[in-house]
Amino acid sequence: MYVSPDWVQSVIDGNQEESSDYVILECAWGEEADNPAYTEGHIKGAYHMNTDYIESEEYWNIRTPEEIEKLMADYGITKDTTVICYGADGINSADDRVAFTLLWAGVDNVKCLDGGFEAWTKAGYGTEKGSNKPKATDKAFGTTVPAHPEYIISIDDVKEKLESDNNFKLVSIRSKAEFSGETSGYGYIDKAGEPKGAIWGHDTDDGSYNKADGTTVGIDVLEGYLKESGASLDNELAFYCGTGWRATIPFLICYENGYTNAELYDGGWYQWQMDDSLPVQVGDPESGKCEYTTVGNLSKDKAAK
Amino acid sequence: MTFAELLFLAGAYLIQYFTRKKMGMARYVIYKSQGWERTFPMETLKYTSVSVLTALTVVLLAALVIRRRQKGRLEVAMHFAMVILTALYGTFTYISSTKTMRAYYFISLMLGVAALLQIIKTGAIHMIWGKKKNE
Repeated sequence: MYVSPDWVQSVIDGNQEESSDYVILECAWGEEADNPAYTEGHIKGAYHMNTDYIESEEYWNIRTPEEIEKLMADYGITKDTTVICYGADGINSADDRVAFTLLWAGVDNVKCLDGGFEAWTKAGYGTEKGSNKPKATDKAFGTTVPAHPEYIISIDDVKEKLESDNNFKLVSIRSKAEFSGETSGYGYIDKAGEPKGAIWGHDTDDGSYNKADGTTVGIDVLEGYLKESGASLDNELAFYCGTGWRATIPFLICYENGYTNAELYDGGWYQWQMDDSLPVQVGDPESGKCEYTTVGNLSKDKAAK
Repeated sequence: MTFAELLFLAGAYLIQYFTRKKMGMARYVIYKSQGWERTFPMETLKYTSVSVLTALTVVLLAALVIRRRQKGRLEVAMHFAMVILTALYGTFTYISSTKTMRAYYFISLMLGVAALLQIIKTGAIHMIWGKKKNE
């Protein structure tokens, strides 16, 4: 899943079996023209992938299968294409979000450049400027999209499993302040808290999922975080965050290590806090100072400043 | 045009600029727009406000024609600015939508306020004319 700059360069150089059919995606929010991360230099041959292309505006969940299939055709991607995603650095989760979407859709071989563009430039590999326009394909994608619907768990299933399934763990990949209800973490979300029953799995944005060199941690680190919250890798693990970016990192770590009991609750806190009837916790349950209520009773002054 | 009107026009430009450049801003305007659509009859409000401002503009223009002997350069300029701002607001509001421009409601609101301010000022000129005529 996570690959080194050396490996990516060897694909570009034609030295890997993947070299015959691959696409490199520079993943970031925003159109290419508004995106200096792409226009000021990118990996040779990379296309810009605006995360808005894969997310719908209602809840920022992954778009419909038809939309994703069309998008992949526009980018020349079939299930047999090797897709290498990268973001600005190891913490940035735009590439993980896109990679997750491609796996969900059915692309067999998806990679993330470990450490992102920062690792690429540190390794001394070249970049290019200018725009590369993807070449659309008229080939069939090769499987039904999504090939792996089981990678995403719906809000209804989350609600039901939190109430009835002791093996199910809803793991918050958000900051401690977000988890304890001090802030929503987002300027556009007024309410703070977590779905009732959620446990904390640390935040990817603070570097908890990165080694000192910016590359992604191993499954042992995730296992430690789960243990802190009374869970383990044997549980059914549904990762979530605000809108589904950060949570894809622990999912991909599980995927890389062969775990099939991990999934993404794509809607995250954003979708949860839109339904006034849903149960929430405000405060860390581990601390003993935790209030249980419903979304409708939350205060509306918790947007990130 | 007054400083306040220029501020609203600049605000409309800045909102559009940052909605394109900043993810947080884009999501904020979308979240607010979705909330307004759930809470208010936005289509009705849109057509009503455009109709009212257009009607006011037409009435004031008609009044200008009637009182053409009293008009000076300043008055003509004010009416011209009123027509331009109302046309800008009406055209934008009719041809755009949240599908074509994420900050549509914000921009429409700001253009509408700028046009309304100009209409109020122009209307005030007619009131002053009216008082002078009565004196």
